Amino acid sequence: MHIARITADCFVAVSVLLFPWWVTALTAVVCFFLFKSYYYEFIAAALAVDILYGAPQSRFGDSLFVVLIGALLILAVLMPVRRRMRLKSR
Amino acid sequence: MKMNYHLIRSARSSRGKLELAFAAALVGVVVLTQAIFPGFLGGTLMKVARPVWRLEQAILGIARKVPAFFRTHISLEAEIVELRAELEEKDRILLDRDALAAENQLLKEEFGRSPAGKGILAAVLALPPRSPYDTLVLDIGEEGGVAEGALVRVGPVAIGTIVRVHTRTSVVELYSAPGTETPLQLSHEGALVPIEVVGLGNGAFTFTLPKETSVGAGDMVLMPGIQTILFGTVDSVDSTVTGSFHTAYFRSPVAFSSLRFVEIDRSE
Repeated sequence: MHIARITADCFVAVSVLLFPWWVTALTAVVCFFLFKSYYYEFIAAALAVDILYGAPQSRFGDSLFVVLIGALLILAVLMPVRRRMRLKSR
Repeated sequence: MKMNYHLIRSARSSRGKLELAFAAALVGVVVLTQAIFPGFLGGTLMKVARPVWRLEQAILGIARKVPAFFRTHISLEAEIVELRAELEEKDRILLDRDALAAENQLLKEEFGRSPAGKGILAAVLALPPRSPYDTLVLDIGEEGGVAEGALVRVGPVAIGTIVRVHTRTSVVELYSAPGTETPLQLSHEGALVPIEVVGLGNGAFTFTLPKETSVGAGDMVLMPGIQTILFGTVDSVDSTVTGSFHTAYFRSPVAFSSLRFVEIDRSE
């Protein structure tokens, strides 16, 4: 499981640098449901995207962390979904 | 049974809470660090990312040559003939371009409005859609004399401004970033009309004008100023019978997907 997680982390890191953003987002969402403990690397990837490519957005109060805010919102939606899926699979 | 169930659940939930607290703390630390030392995190991450992007550029450079290796002589010759004909036609169209540019330069110099020296050439390391932002990452930064707010062009076409500068990299926000408003001028039959252009993402723009103001496909959208800096030419205009406004759409003539080099203005 650890090896799978490290491999997923490496893939997410590479995809932040080399692949379109939606590949990273999709991989992170899949990993979120795949691994037993919460996939918080999701947040780290969003932070990396903001810090590498971000531009202060006037619509968001000149914030640089727009993708991070989006990722946290997605996380808030996915957490209850995941909890329900786990209960059903038990 | 009940007792065991409660124990497992509480152990799991306390671990989950701990992980959540750790993630929240991480976010807090990063956001705080960015607020206190704005260039630190970006600069550090760029140091890691820059060699990866350079390697990618090198590999892509080699990969671009591979298809030509497998192509037949006949198809290559046909393409050369076609491209030569196209080039000759463009040369004919641009025959007076250099003379006009020289005359324009001379006139500006006579009126004491000589444009500043040449810009800085930069290679593009990362393009959209690598991030949901409409930004480019360039291979030059503070060390190369890049300053925040500088205009970034591809030939006579303006594409964006420098928004973040690191030691050896910089980030350009494209004018076409969704929601970005830029005051420009529309050149319609010799008249210049002020317009407010809104970015739609991926090199597309839109603007609205009252119906009394004429606008047509092919009109040029320019940046106000002494230099002729182009944004694009109007592709289409939407207007309804009952509406009071035209809505025009245009795209930047620069193909962002294959963009490799840009020029950064020193004068801005």
